[in-house]
Amino acid sequence: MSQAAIPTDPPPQADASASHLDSFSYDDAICRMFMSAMFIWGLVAFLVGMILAIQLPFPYIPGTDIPTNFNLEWFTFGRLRPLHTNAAIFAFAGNAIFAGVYYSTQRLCKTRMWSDLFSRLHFWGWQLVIVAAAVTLPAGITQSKEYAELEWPVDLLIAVVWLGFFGVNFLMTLLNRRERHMYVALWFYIATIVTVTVLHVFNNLVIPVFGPGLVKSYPVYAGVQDAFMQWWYGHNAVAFFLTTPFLGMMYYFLPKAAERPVFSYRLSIVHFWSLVFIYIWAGPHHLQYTALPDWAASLGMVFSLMLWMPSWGGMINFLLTLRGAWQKVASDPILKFFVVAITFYGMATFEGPMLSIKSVNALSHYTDWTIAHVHAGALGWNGFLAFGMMYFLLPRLFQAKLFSPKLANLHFWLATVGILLYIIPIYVAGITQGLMWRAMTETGQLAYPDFVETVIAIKPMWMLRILGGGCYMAGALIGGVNLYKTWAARPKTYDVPVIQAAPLSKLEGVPEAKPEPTIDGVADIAKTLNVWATGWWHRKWERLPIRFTVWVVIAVVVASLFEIIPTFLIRSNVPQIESVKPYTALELYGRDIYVAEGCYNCHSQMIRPILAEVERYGEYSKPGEFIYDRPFQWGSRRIGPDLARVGLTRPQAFWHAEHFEEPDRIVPGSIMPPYPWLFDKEIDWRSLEKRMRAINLLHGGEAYTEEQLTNAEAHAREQAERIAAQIETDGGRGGLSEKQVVALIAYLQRMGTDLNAPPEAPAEEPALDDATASLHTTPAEGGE
Amino acid sequence: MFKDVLRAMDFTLLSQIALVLFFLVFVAVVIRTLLRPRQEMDRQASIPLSDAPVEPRGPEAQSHE
Ligand code: HEC
Repeated sequence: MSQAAIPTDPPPQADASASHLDSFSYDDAICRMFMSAMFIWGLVAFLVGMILAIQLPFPYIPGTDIPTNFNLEWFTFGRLRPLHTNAAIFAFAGNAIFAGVYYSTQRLCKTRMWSDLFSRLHFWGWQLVIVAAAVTLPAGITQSKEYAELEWPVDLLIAVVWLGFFGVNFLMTLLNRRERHMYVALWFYIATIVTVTVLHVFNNLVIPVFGPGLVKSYPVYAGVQDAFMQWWYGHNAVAFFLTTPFLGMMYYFLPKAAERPVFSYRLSIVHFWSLVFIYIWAGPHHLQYTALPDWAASLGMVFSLMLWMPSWGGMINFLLTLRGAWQKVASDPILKFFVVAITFYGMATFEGPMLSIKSVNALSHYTDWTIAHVHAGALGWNGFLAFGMMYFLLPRLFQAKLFSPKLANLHFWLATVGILLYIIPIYVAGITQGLMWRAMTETGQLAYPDFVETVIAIKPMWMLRILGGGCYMAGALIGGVNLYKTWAARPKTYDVPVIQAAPLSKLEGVPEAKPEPTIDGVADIAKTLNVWATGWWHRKWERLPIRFTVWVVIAVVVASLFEIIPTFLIRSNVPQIESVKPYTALELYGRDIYVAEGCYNCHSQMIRPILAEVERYGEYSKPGEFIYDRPFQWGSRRIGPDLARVGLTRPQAFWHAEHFEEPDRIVPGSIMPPYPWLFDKEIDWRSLEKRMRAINLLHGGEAYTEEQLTNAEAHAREQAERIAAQIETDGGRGGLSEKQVVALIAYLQRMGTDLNAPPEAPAEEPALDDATASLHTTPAEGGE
Repeated sequence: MFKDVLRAMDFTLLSQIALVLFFLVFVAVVIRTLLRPRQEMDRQASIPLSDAPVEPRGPEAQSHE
C-alpha cells in the first residue's frame, strides 16, 4: 500500500465514555526537517567518501604531476577522512535517528513532542554542530580520537543539544504520553540518549590550550589509558549510536510497513535488556586488559556469545515478522530495504565478536578487513534502514503519492550492488594485505619487506571500491529525485489530523497494586516469587519513564565504571621506563602537527608482539613508552607503515623532508600525499610555552621545569636550526628553520628512541652527523 | 586521595561481584519476560499499528483483548 497510494491514518477513535477529551496533533514538520537533513548530509558523507576512495589509489591525477589533494591542506586524506566518518555517523545516521525518533515517539506515545521550540533548537543546534565539524575538521582542528575528533567547543555544543534539547524534549514527551505502556522502541531510544551522554562526556575530558587562533586541547588521559578510554567509547558508540536507535526504529517501522505486529514481543524485550546489561560488559577485548581472573574473562566470553544469541534472535524476530508477507516484500521497496538492512545487521553482529577473537584479530587488525566490516554495517544496516524509512515517510510526511516506485526499486538495486562491489574487494584487500605483512620466507625473513609492495598489491581492489561507492551514491541520488518530486507534489497546506483522546492521568484511576499470591501451601519465598513473577512491579515501573531511565542510567554507568576505573588504575600498573622522557618543545609542537594533519588515519604507532611485526618495525611497543602521549596515536589502519620506531629506522631529517615534499619520488609507488604546505607554514613559537604548561599541569608539574617552560622558544629554535642545517647539508632545501616541517621531523626523529636511550648521558659528546643523538639530551640540558 | 582509596580496594573482587549481579539480574528479567501473559504481549506489540490511541488504555486494558 505504502507507495501506491497516499496512506491515511485510521480515523481518530471516538471515545464515548470520556467527557474530558483533549485534542492534539503530531508535529510532522520536524520530521520533514530531519529527514531532508539526513538526505543532504548523507550525500555529503558519500561524496567525501568517494573523494577519499579516489585519493587512495590515485595520489596523483594519472599521467600528470598534479596531486589529488591539489596541494591544498584542507583537501588532503588525513583531514578529510574524519570529515567522512563524522558526516556518515553524526550527520547522516544522526539525522536519520532524529527523523525516526520524532516520528515514532509521537505516535507510540500518542502525543505531540513536548516542546516545538525544543524540537527546533535540537534541529538547528545539531545542524550547527555538523557545520562546525565541516569547518573545523578540514582546518586540522581535531582531538584525533576516532569519531570523537571534534574539539572542545563543539563538544560542549553537542552536550547541550543532545541532552539539553533532545533528551529533555524526549523525556518530557514520555511523561505526557497517552499510551500507558512504553513500546519497546522507546526503551531503545532511552538507552541511546543515556549512554551516548555518558560516552561523550567521559571520552572528551580535556584541558584546553588558549591562544590567539588556537583551538586545541590535551586529553586528561595519556597513552594506554587514553587508548582504553577511546576504545571503550568507540566500541559502545557503535552499539548505542548506530545500533540501539536503529533497532528501536526497526521495531517501529517494520511492523508499520508490514502492517502486522512484531513476531515476538517477548523476544524484543529480551533483545533490549541483553544490550543494556551485557553489551557494555561483553567485549572480551575489554576484559582482557583488566586484571580479572580467568573465570571472569571466561564469563565475558560467555556474555559475548549470549550477546550473539539475542542479536540473531532479533534478526530472526524481524524476519519472522514478515512471515506470510513475503509477497509484499517482493513488490514493496520499503520492505526490501528493511530485509537487506536486517540481513546486514545479522552479518555485522556475527562478524563483530568474531573480530575480537585474538587469532582473527591478529590478522584483521590494521587492515581493510575492518573497513569492510564497518561499511557492511554503515551502508547495509544503517543506510538501508534509513532509506527504507525515507520511502515509508515520504508519502506520509509530504502527503503526496511517492513519485516513482520504479525509481525506488532502482535505488534499491543500485545500492545493493554498490555495497557488494564495495565490501567484497575490500575484504579481499584486507586479507591479502594482512597475509602479505606476516608472510615469511623459509629462511625466516619477511617475504615482502617493502611495505609499499603490499600497498601496490591491493590498489586494484581500491579501484573496484570506487565503482561500488559510485553505485551506492548513484542510488542515493535517484532517491533524491524521488524525494524532490514527491516534495514538489505536496499539497499547498498540509492536512494536520487532530486527534481527540483523554490524557492518561484521567484514566489512571487504579494504580498498579501488588497482587495476592495465587499459590498456597508453599514456603513464603515461593509466594513472593509467585507475586513477583506476575510482573506487576515492572508494569508499574515502566509506566514511570523517569524511574526506568534512572535504572538504565545505573546499569550503564555501573558497567562503564567497572570498565573505566581499572583503566585509571592502569596508570599505576604501567611499568615506568626510566629512559622515557617528555617531548621537547619542538617535538611537542611537531606532534601536534601530526595530530592536526591526521597522520594517524594512515599510520599506526603500536608494534604488536608478533614475530613478523617485530621483524618489520622493530622491538614491540611497551605501555610505559606512551606516558607522555596526549592524545595517544596508535591508529587503527595501516595504510602506511607503523611509525612507532621510525626515529630509529629513519633518523635522517633530509629523507623526511624530501619524502614530505613528494613521497612518490622517494618511494616509487607510494600513495602518501605530498605535504607542500608544511614547507610554507611557520611554527607558532609563542604557543609553545602554553602547550607545555597544559601538559605540565596534567603531569602534576613534573614534566617540565620552570626553566624549560620559560625558555621554550629558545630551546625550540635551537633544535629547529640544527635540523634545518642538517637538511641543507645533506643537499635539501635551505631556510627551513622557521617552518612546520622541521617540527614534525623533530617529532619523527624522537619516536621510539626513548626505550633504549642511554640513561642521562652527560652532554659532552659533540653533535655527530646523526642529529638524533644530540636531540635526546635536549630536555636534560634544560636542567631536568 | 580518591585514587589511593580506589587503589587500596580489591578492585577485581568488586568487578566480579558486579559482573555476577548483572548476570543474575539479566537472567531474572528474561525469566520474567517469558512469564508474561500472552494477551498483554499481543496488546503491547500492536501499539505501533494505530496512530491514534486505542481504547481502553486504563489498567483494565491488560485483562481485555
Ligand atoms: C593516505 C595515507 C597516508 C597519510 C595521510 C600519511 N601517510 Fe605517511 N605513508 C603512507 C604510505 C603508504 C607510506 C609508505 C610508502 C612511503 O614510504 O612513502 C608512508 C610512509 C611514511 C613514512 C616512512 C616510513 C618508513 O618507515 O618508511 C613516514 C615517516 C611517514 N609516512 C610519515 C607521515 C606523516 C608524518 C604523515 C602526516 C603528516 C603521513 N605520513 C601521512 C601513507 C600515508
